[in-house]
Amino acid sequence: MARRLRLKGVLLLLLVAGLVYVVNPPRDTLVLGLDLQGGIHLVMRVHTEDAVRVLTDETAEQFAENLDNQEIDFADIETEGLGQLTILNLDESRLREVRDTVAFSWPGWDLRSAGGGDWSFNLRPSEEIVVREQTVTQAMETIRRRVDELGVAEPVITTHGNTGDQILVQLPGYEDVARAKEIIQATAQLELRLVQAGPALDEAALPPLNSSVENIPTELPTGAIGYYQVNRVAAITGRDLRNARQAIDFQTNTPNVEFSLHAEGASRFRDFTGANVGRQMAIVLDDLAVSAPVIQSPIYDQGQITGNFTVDEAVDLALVLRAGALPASLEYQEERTVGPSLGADSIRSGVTASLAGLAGVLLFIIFYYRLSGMNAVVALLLNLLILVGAMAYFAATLTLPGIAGVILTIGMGVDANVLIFERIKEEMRTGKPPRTAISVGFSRVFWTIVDANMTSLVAAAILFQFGTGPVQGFAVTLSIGLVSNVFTAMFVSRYIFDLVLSGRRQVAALSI
Amino acid sequence: MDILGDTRIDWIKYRWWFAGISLALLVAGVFDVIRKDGLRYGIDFSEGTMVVAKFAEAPEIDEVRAVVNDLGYGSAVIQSYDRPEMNQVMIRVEKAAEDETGGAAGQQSTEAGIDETANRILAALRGGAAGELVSSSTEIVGPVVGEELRRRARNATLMALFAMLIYIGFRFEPVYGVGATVAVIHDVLVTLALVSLFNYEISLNVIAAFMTLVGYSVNDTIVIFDRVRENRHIHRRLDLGAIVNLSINQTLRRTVLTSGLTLLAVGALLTWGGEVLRAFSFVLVAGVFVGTYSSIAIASPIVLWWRSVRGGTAATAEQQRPQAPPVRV
Repeated sequence: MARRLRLKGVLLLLLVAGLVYVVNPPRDTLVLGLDLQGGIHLVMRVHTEDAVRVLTDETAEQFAENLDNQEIDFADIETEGLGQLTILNLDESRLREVRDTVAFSWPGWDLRSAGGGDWSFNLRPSEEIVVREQTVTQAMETIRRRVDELGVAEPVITTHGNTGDQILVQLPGYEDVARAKEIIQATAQLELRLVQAGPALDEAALPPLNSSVENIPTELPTGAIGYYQVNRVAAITGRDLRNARQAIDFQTNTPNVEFSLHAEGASRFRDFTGANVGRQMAIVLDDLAVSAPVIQSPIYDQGQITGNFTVDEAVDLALVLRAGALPASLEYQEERTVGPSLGADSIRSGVTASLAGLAGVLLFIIFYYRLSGMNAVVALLLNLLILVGAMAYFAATLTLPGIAGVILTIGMGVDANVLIFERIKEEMRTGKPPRTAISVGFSRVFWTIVDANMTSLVAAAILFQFGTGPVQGFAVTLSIGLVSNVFTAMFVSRYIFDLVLSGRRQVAALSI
Repeated sequence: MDILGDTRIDWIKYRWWFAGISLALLVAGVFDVIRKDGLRYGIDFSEGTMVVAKFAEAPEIDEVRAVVNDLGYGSAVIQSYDRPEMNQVMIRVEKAAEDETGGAAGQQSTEAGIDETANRILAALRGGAAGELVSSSTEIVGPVVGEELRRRARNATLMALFAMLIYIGFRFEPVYGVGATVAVIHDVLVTLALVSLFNYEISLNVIAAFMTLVGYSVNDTIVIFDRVRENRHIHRRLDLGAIVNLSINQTLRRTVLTSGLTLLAVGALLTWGGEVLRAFSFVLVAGVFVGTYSSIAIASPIVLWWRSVRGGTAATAEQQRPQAPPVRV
């Protein structure tokens, strides 16, 4: 008995020492959120014209294909500007069909005669605004996914200004701002395209351009800039990715990024690689060919991107590929540090009030339960220490919603102790000696406490899995708190009872 | 020391009174929400105005907040901006209501609203309470919580509630899961009514406080249910109504102590926590009251009622039990 108690005591002391070590110093180990500590304030502009340009190019290509399929003659489709196309020498005898196609598939576009058999095909201004707005919304979603992947808790991401193309991002903390900025800004437009010619040091050395190919720069092994001539249409794009992760290439022992495709992309990729065995495929990232491997055999749903990456670069590239491409490039316009969004004044008064409340609770427990109350106080304080230690260990971000979870934990911790003590008193009233009353009391409330905490834990797990931002912050502290609650109330408090009573042969009264 | 003697209150007898009280609060809340054109959502959920003000000397955030609060912007976010020696403060407030902008339509109304809001704030700041104003800039900012985030939060909460129902139903009996869940929904609605009646705004932090309330309420309910479960094995002769009464009375000391202590903690936050945390701590305080009340007044009667509908013993339970059984076992 005594040996077991001593062993438990040593284990507890080790736990406390470990926690203190993890937490110390709190200023450096605890990650506080934007609301409690402040962070970095970034304003960026989305180049929404990028998205309009992509749409214009895609439309030119698809419209030409559509006319070809209907066997309607035209000379060429020229891009005049953003959302402005000219169809040269259109077969006007079949204008009706063309108009029907436009009405059916391109309702946001206007077809007008430009004279001499040429027709202008323009994106309506109202439609262009919609495209630009969607671009900003998509960019915000992508940024949110990337910031989430970075493990940053509860950022502020919203629109800014009245020009409709600015995004405001606030991130908590000041660590690694440069990396966060780079990850947010990376366009991460991945495309796999068939190589038609190259690489050549000079664009002039490549065959003349036509509407189905373009030249893309690449860095040659010598370090010079060269060019590949590749198909304009990509076989696979970032949208076909299912997952991406950093890995090491066994042959060259250099970092690379492995990716996998989802079902539809995989079947297209198999057809594409199967039809082009022996040819080169350029891996194009943000309009730069990072490598151009030869297709050895048909490839299914796996692939890898090799390039001149460091491990960190490969990790970040995998992250942005997982989070998806930005629909347009970004430009930072403003970067400032900001103070806590709750305001330094509120935090001061909040901390004071919380400490006063906690002190009041602990004093009352000692006053009401006398010496036994000390058990509860030790259990509650240890509970808080475990919570803070776990937050520091997992580098989880503490925010006000997280503190709400802490408050619930403390409430339930108080409840667990009150339940135990009231039950012990109840048992003593029936005439049981203290030692028996303690043992019966603890075993009676065991399932009450487990059920109460498990119910909340189940809910917290779901909130963590499916919630976002503040919901997750709440779930994290609550889950940690509930587990340590059961531990401190059932194990630690019991241990102290056993320890205090172990020295005495007969216990007549209990200070409770 | 004991805070309460043994009680023999016949809680179940008052169940219609309880239902009446809850219903009255809910109706009052609904009317209040209708009268005020819906619940008030804070800056987290709506478009707002952002003013960056530069002062001649380092401004005190709480003085700036006092000035902004006097204008009626309860949920303003006020942060220091840029390096400390720049003496700048960033103030975010929600967009002025439509009627304040004179009802002009479309984009112009927004911009007029932004300008007017910014001008009001800057005029008040020039009043000097927070120091001499040097320069300022104004921008529109969007809501922090968009539609997608709102949808995900809602789904996660509903799924979590459902999981609780399943767990309690599994560990006790299905009807107990229903009782606890209905009680939790009752608590959220009643507290929402109180939030509206007391004119508080809903922010992300207030929603976190609501989740705390749910957790607290469920915990409290489970303690009573657990005692019912235990007593049903001990007193096989007693009908369920008597057992529920007995269990509530047996756990009453614990209920009063736990709720009192939790109230002490969150009450301190409400009293001394300052303006920004007021709505948050109000929901916590209300949650302790409502969550405790609903375990006795809503969750237990529902279990009983369900049993009576299924087993046909409701009337007999009432008649057979003129007084509550003794507490001592």
